[in-house]
Amino acid sequence: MVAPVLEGQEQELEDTLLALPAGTQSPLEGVDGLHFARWVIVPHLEYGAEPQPRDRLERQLLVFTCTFDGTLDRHVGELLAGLGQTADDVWRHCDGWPGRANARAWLLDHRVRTGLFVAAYPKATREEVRGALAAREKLLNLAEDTQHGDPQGKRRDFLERFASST
Amino acid sequence: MKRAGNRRGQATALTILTPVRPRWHLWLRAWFALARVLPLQRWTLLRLQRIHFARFALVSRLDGRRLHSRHLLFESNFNGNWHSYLEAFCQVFPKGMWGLWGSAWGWPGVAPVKGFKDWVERNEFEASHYWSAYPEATTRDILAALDTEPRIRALAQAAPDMDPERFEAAWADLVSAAVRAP
Repeated sequence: MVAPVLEGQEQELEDTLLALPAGTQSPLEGVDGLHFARWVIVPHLEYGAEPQPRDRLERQLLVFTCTFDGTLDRHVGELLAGLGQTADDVWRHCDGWPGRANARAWLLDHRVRTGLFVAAYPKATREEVRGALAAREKLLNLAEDTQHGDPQGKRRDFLERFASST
Repeated sequence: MKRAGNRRGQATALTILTPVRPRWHLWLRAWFALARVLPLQRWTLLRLQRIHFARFALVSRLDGRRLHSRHLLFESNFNGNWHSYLEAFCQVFPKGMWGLWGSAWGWPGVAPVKGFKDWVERNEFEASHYWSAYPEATTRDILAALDTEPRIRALAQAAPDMDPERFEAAWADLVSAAVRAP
Protein backbone atom coordinates (compact mmCIF):
# COMPACT_ATOMS: atom_id res chain seq x y z
CA MET A 1 0.00 0.00 0.00
CA VAL A 2 1.07 3.59 -0.64
CA ALA A 3 -0.03 6.62 1.40
CA PRO A 4 1.00 10.28 1.20
CA VAL A 5 2.89 11.66 4.19
CA LEU A 6 1.56 14.81 5.85
CA GLU A 7 3.66 17.86 5.08
CA GLY A 8 6.07 18.72 7.86
CA GLN A 9 5.88 15.27 9.41
CA GLU A 10 8.40 13.50 7.17
CA GLN A 11 11.26 13.58 9.65
CA GLU A 12 9.10 12.49 12.56
CA LEU A 13 7.83 9.56 10.52
CA GLU A 14 11.32 8.51 9.56
CA ASP A 15 12.50 8.81 13.16
CA THR A 16 9.56 6.67 14.30
CA LEU A 17 10.35 3.94 11.77
CA LEU A 18 14.07 3.97 12.47
CA ALA A 19 13.41 3.72 16.21
CA LEU A 20 11.29 0.56 15.89
CA PRO A 21 13.11 -2.37 17.44
CA ALA A 22 14.49 -4.87 14.95
CA GLY A 23 14.24 -8.66 14.69
CA THR A 24 12.06 -10.52 17.16
CA GLN A 25 11.38 -7.29 19.06
CA SER A 26 9.87 -5.65 15.97
CA PRO A 27 6.14 -4.91 16.27
CA LEU A 28 5.76 -6.89 13.02
CA GLU A 29 6.72 -10.05 14.92
CA GLY A 30 3.28 -10.02 16.53
CA VAL A 31 1.37 -10.06 13.23
CA ASP A 32 0.03 -13.56 12.59
CA GLY A 33 0.96 -15.22 9.32
CA LEU A 34 3.45 -12.58 8.23
CA HIS A 35 6.54 -13.74 6.29
CA PHE A 36 8.23 -10.46 5.29
CA ALA A 37 7.34 -6.79 5.58
CA ARG A 38 8.88 -3.36 5.11
CA TRP A 39 8.14 0.33 5.37
CA VAL A 40 9.84 2.49 2.77
CA ILE A 41 9.68 6.27 2.45
CA VAL A 42 9.69 7.53 -1.13
CA PRO A 43 10.75 11.19 -1.11
CA HIS A 44 10.71 11.70 -4.90
CA LEU A 45 10.24 9.90 -8.19
CA GLU A 46 13.38 9.32 -10.18
CA TYR A 47 13.40 10.79 -13.67
CA GLY A 48 14.09 8.22 -16.40
CA ALA A 49 15.19 9.92 -19.61
CA GLU A 50 14.12 12.51 -22.18
CA PRO A 51 11.43 12.91 -23.48
CA GLN A 52 9.65 11.44 -20.44
CA PRO A 53 7.13 13.94 -19.08
CA ARG A 54 8.09 14.79 -15.51
CA ASP A 55 6.15 13.45 -12.56
CA ARG A 56 6.82 15.28 -9.33
CA LEU A 57 5.52 14.30 -5.93
CA GLU A 58 3.92 17.08 -3.96
CA ARG A 59 4.24 14.99 -0.82
CA GLN A 60 6.46 12.14 0.21
CA LEU A 61 5.00 8.66 0.16
CA LEU A 62 5.03 5.87 2.69
CA VAL A 63 5.08 2.45 1.08
CA PHE A 64 4.26 -0.63 3.14
CA THR A 65 4.62 -4.06 1.58
CA CYS A 66 4.13 -7.45 3.15
CA THR A 67 3.77 -11.13 2.32
CA PHE A 68 1.25 -12.97 4.44
CA ASP A 69 -0.77 -16.18 4.78
CA GLY A 70 -4.47 -16.38 4.00
CA THR A 71 -6.82 -13.80 2.59
CA LEU A 72 -6.31 -10.03 2.39
CA ASP A 73 -9.48 -9.43 4.38
CA ARG A 74 -8.27 -11.56 7.28
CA HIS A 75 -4.77 -10.18 7.07
CA VAL A 76 -5.87 -6.55 7.45
CA GLY A 77 -7.46 -7.44 10.78
CA GLU A 78 -4.39 -9.41 11.87
CA LEU A 79 -2.09 -6.58 10.83
CA LEU A 80 -3.95 -3.98 12.85
CA ALA A 81 -4.32 -6.27 15.86
CA GLY A 82 -0.68 -7.37 15.74
CA LEU A 83 0.78 -3.90 15.30
CA GLY A 84 -1.40 -2.37 17.99
CA GLN A 85 -0.22 1.12 18.94
CA THR A 86 2.56 0.97 16.31
CA ALA A 87 -0.06 1.23 13.55
CA ASP A 88 -1.12 4.60 14.96
CA ASP A 89 2.46 5.69 15.68
CA VAL A 90 3.45 5.12 12.04
CA TRP A 91 0.40 5.87 9.91
CA ARG A 92 -0.81 8.89 11.89
CA HIS A 93 1.81 10.75 9.85
CA CYS A 94 -0.13 9.89 6.68
CA ASP A 95 -3.00 11.78 5.12
CA GLY A 96 -6.45 10.69 6.29
CA TRP A 97 -5.36 8.08 8.85
CA PRO A 98 -8.54 7.47 10.85
CA GLY A 99 -6.95 5.69 13.82
CA ARG A 100 -6.48 1.96 13.99
CA ALA A 101 -9.97 1.24 15.24
CA ASN A 102 -11.34 2.49 11.92
CA ALA A 103 -8.39 1.80 9.67
CA ARG A 104 -9.55 -1.23 7.71
CA ALA A 105 -11.11 0.75 4.84
CA TRP A 106 -8.24 3.26 4.82
CA LEU A 107 -5.67 0.49 4.39
CA LEU A 108 -7.67 -1.11 1.59
CA ASP A 109 -8.19 2.26 -0.13
CA HIS A 110 -4.43 2.74 -0.31
CA ARG A 111 -3.75 -0.73 -1.58
CA VAL A 112 -1.74 -1.24 -4.78
CA ARG A 113 -2.76 -4.36 -6.62
CA THR A 114 -0.01 -6.86 -7.35
CA GLY A 115 0.51 -7.61 -11.04
CA LEU A 116 2.83 -10.57 -10.60
CA PHE A 117 3.81 -12.39 -7.45
CA VAL A 118 6.69 -14.84 -7.23
CA ALA A 119 7.05 -17.15 -4.24
CA ALA A 120 9.69 -19.78 -3.55
CA TYR A 121 7.42 -21.65 -1.11
CA PRO A 122 3.88 -20.57 -1.97
CA LYS A 123 2.05 -23.35 -0.15
CA ALA A 124 3.78 -23.14 3.24
CA THR A 125 2.42 -20.98 6.02
CA ARG A 126 4.77 -19.08 8.27
CA GLU A 127 4.24 -21.57 11.10
CA GLU A 128 4.93 -24.47 8.74
CA VAL A 129 8.18 -22.85 7.60
CA ARG A 130 9.26 -22.16 11.16
CA GLY A 131 8.36 -25.71 12.21
CA ALA A 132 10.28 -27.19 9.28
CA LEU A 133 13.34 -25.05 9.99
CA ALA A 134 13.31 -26.10 13.65
CA ALA A 135 12.98 -29.80 12.73
CA ARG A 136 15.81 -29.54 10.21
CA GLU A 137 18.07 -27.86 12.73
CA LYS A 138 17.32 -30.55 15.30
CA LEU A 139 18.09 -33.22 12.72
CA LEU A 140 21.39 -31.66 11.67
CA ASN A 141 22.42 -31.29 15.32
CA LEU A 142 21.67 -34.96 15.86
CA ALA A 143 23.65 -35.89 12.74
CA GLU A 144 26.62 -34.00 14.12
CA ASP A 145 26.28 -35.54 17.58
CA THR A 146 26.00 -39.10 16.26
CA GLN A 147 28.30 -39.01 13.25
CA HIS A 148 30.71 -41.55 14.79
CA GLY A 149 28.01 -43.67 16.43
CA ASP A 150 26.79 -47.14 15.44
CA PRO A 151 23.48 -47.59 13.53
CA GLN A 152 21.66 -48.94 16.56
CA GLY A 153 22.65 -45.95 18.68
CA LYS A 154 21.67 -43.55 15.89
CA ARG A 155 18.24 -45.14 15.59
CA ARG A 156 17.74 -44.98 19.36
CA ASP A 157 18.78 -41.30 19.53
CA PHE A 158 16.67 -40.43 16.48
CA LEU A 159 13.57 -42.02 17.96
CA GLU A 160 14.17 -40.34 21.30
CA ARG A 161 14.31 -36.93 19.71
CA PHE A 162 11.71 -37.35 17.00
CA ALA A 163 9.18 -39.82 18.41
CA SER A 164 6.76 -36.92 18.90
CA SER A 165 6.99 -36.05 15.17
CA THR A 166 4.84 -38.98 14.08
CA MET B 1 25.32 4.18 -0.56
CA LYS B 2 22.78 3.50 2.20
CA ARG B 3 21.67 -0.08 2.39
CA ALA B 4 21.84 -1.02 6.08
CA GLY B 5 18.06 -0.72 6.40
CA ASN B 6 17.59 -3.28 3.66
CA ARG B 7 19.30 -6.09 5.57
CA ARG B 8 17.84 -8.35 8.23
CA GLY B 9 20.09 -11.33 8.91
CA GLN B 10 20.35 -13.35 5.70
CA ALA B 11 17.48 -11.45 4.07
CA THR B 12 17.83 -8.40 1.86
CA ALA B 13 15.07 -6.09 0.67
CA LEU B 14 15.07 -4.45 -2.74
CA THR B 15 12.45 -1.81 -3.55
CA ILE B 16 12.55 -0.01 -6.88
CA LEU B 17 10.09 2.26 -8.62
CA THR B 18 10.62 2.97 -12.31
CA PRO B 19 8.68 5.10 -14.83
CA VAL B 20 7.03 3.15 -17.63
CA ARG B 21 6.99 4.43 -21.22
CA PRO B 22 3.62 5.19 -22.86
CA ARG B 23 1.52 2.17 -23.76
CA TRP B 24 4.07 -0.26 -22.33
CA HIS B 25 1.75 -0.87 -19.41
CA LEU B 26 -0.40 -2.88 -21.83
CA TRP B 27 2.56 -5.10 -22.56
CA LEU B 28 3.31 -5.44 -18.84
CA ARG B 29 -0.26 -6.40 -18.04
CA ALA B 30 -0.13 -9.06 -20.76
CA TRP B 31 3.25 -10.23 -19.47
CA PHE B 32 1.91 -10.55 -15.93
CA ALA B 33 -1.16 -12.44 -17.13
CA LEU B 34 0.98 -14.83 -19.16
CA ALA B 35 3.41 -15.40 -16.30
CA ARG B 36 0.52 -16.19 -13.96
CA VAL B 37 -0.69 -18.90 -16.32
CA LEU B 38 2.62 -20.20 -17.68
CA PRO B 39 5.09 -20.82 -14.87
CA LEU B 40 8.21 -20.45 -17.05
CA GLN B 41 9.10 -16.87 -16.12
CA ARG B 42 8.46 -17.45 -12.42
CA TRP B 43 10.39 -20.69 -12.57
CA THR B 44 13.36 -18.91 -14.18
CA LEU B 45 13.37 -16.31 -11.42
CA LEU B 46 13.09 -18.93 -8.71
CA ARG B 47 15.81 -21.09 -10.25
CA LEU B 48 18.28 -18.80 -8.54
CA GLN B 49 17.00 -20.17 -5.20
CA ARG B 50 17.76 -16.79 -3.71
CA ILE B 51 14.35 -15.14 -3.83
CA HIS B 52 11.91 -15.78 -1.00
CA PHE B 53 9.15 -13.59 -2.41
CA ALA B 54 9.02 -10.90 -5.09
CA ARG B 55 6.28 -8.85 -6.67
CA PHE B 56 5.63 -6.42 -9.50
CA ALA B 57 2.84 -3.86 -9.41
CA LEU B 58 1.81 -1.13 -11.83
CA VAL B 59 1.03 2.21 -10.24
CA SER B 60 -0.96 4.77 -12.22
CA ARG B 61 -2.03 7.18 -9.43
CA LEU B 62 -0.13 8.54 -6.47
CA ASP B 63 -1.34 10.95 -3.84
CA GLY B 64 -4.70 11.14 -5.59
CA ARG B 65 -3.23 12.31 -8.90
CA ARG B 66 -2.85 10.45 -12.15
CA LEU B 67 0.80 10.17 -13.12
CA HIS B 68 2.07 11.18 -16.56
CA SER B 69 3.96 7.89 -16.60
CA ARG B 70 2.74 4.80 -14.88
CA HIS B 71 5.38 3.41 -12.54
CA LEU B 72 6.48 -0.17 -12.02
CA LEU B 73 7.00 -1.09 -8.39
CA PHE B 74 9.26 -4.07 -7.81
CA GLU B 75 9.99 -5.47 -4.40
CA SER B 76 12.07 -8.51 -3.62
CA ASN B 77 13.09 -10.40 -0.50
CA PHE B 78 16.23 -12.31 -1.30
CA ASN B 79 19.31 -13.65 0.42
CA GLY B 80 22.87 -12.72 -0.26
CA ASN B 81 24.35 -9.41 -1.21
CA TRP B 82 22.95 -6.82 -3.56
CA HIS B 83 25.74 -7.05 -6.16
CA SER B 84 25.73 -10.82 -6.57
CA TYR B 85 21.92 -10.89 -6.65
CA LEU B 86 21.73 -8.38 -9.49
CA GLU B 87 24.54 -10.11 -11.37
CA ALA B 88 22.77 -13.47 -11.04
CA PHE B 89 19.54 -11.84 -12.19
CA CYS B 90 21.27 -10.57 -15.34
CA GLN B 91 22.76 -13.97 -16.07
CA VAL B 92 19.71 -16.20 -15.66
CA PHE B 93 16.88 -13.83 -16.53
CA PRO B 94 18.08 -11.44 -19.27
CA LYS B 95 15.06 -11.87 -21.56
CA GLY B 96 12.62 -11.57 -18.70
CA MET B 97 14.32 -8.38 -17.58
CA TRP B 98 13.99 -6.93 -21.05
CA GLY B 99 10.34 -7.91 -20.94
CA LEU B 100 9.78 -6.19 -17.62
CA TRP B 101 12.14 -3.23 -17.30
CA GLY B 102 12.59 -2.73 -21.02
CA SER B 103 9.38 -0.77 -20.52
CA ALA B 104 11.13 1.83 -18.37
CA TRP B 105 12.31 5.26 -19.37
CA GLY B 106 16.12 5.23 -19.13
CA TRP B 107 16.46 1.43 -19.06
CA PRO B 108 20.13 0.72 -19.84
CA GLY B 109 19.84 -3.02 -20.60
CA VAL B 110 21.53 -5.83 -18.72
CA ALA B 111 24.97 -5.49 -20.29
CA PRO B 112 27.28 -4.20 -19.09
CA VAL B 113 26.02 -5.18 -15.67
CA LYS B 114 27.49 -2.02 -14.10
CA GLY B 115 25.06 0.11 -16.08
CA PHE B 116 22.19 -2.00 -14.82
CA LYS B 117 23.37 -1.78 -11.21
CA ASP B 118 23.74 2.00 -11.47
CA TRP B 119 20.20 2.21 -12.82
CA VAL B 120 18.81 0.05 -10.02
CA GLU B 121 20.66 2.14 -7.47
CA ARG B 122 19.19 5.37 -8.86
CA ASN B 123 15.67 3.97 -8.67
CA GLU B 124 16.01 2.14 -5.37
CA PHE B 125 14.62 3.22 -2.00
CA GLU B 126 16.00 2.05 1.29
CA ALA B 127 13.65 0.48 3.83
CA SER B 128 13.23 2.43 7.04
CA HIS B 129 12.12 -0.75 8.76
CA TYR B 130 12.52 -4.24 7.36
CA TRP B 131 11.43 -7.47 8.99
CA SER B 132 11.73 -11.15 8.16
CA ALA B 133 10.11 -14.10 9.93
CA TYR B 134 13.22 -16.16 9.14
CA PRO B 135 16.17 -13.80 9.39
CA GLU B 136 18.77 -16.55 9.74
CA ALA B 137 17.48 -18.82 6.97
CA THR B 138 18.34 -18.61 3.28
CA THR B 139 15.82 -19.62 0.64
CA ARG B 140 17.72 -22.88 0.20
CA ASP B 141 17.56 -23.56 3.93
CA ILE B 142 13.80 -23.15 3.83
CA LEU B 143 13.32 -25.28 0.73
CA ALA B 144 15.50 -28.00 2.23
CA ALA B 145 13.63 -27.80 5.54
CA LEU B 146 10.21 -28.06 3.88
CA ASP B 147 11.43 -31.04 1.88
CA THR B 148 12.98 -32.72 4.93
CA GLU B 149 10.27 -32.28 7.53
CA PRO B 150 7.80 -34.86 6.09
CA ARG B 151 10.70 -37.27 5.59
CA ILE B 152 11.58 -36.95 9.26
CA ARG B 153 8.02 -37.82 10.21
CA ALA B 154 8.01 -40.78 7.81
CA LEU B 155 11.28 -42.14 9.17
CA ALA B 156 10.17 -41.65 12.78
CA GLN B 157 7.14 -43.77 11.97
CA ALA B 158 9.08 -46.50 10.14
CA ALA B 159 12.25 -46.63 12.26
CA PRO B 160 10.95 -48.85 15.09
CA ASP B 161 10.43 -51.69 12.59
CA MET B 162 13.70 -51.23 10.71
CA ASP B 163 16.83 -53.23 11.31
CA PRO B 164 19.88 -51.06 12.08
CA GLU B 165 21.40 -51.38 8.59
CA ARG B 166 18.22 -50.29 6.82
CA PHE B 167 17.88 -47.46 9.28
CA GLU B 168 21.47 -46.39 8.60
CA ALA B 169 20.75 -46.13 4.85
CA ALA B 170 17.50 -44.22 5.40
CA TRP B 171 19.22 -41.94 7.92
CA ALA B 172 21.99 -41.13 5.43
CA ASP B 173 19.36 -40.22 2.79
CA LEU B 174 17.53 -38.03 5.26
CA VAL B 175 20.62 -36.12 6.34
CA SER B 176 21.62 -35.69 2.72
CA ALA B 177 18.17 -34.22 1.91
CA ALA B 178 18.45 -31.88 4.88
CA VAL B 179 21.67 -30.28 3.68
CA ARG B 180 20.66 -29.61 0.09
CA ALA B 181 17.71 -27.81 -1.43
CA PRO B 182 15.38 -29.99 -3.58
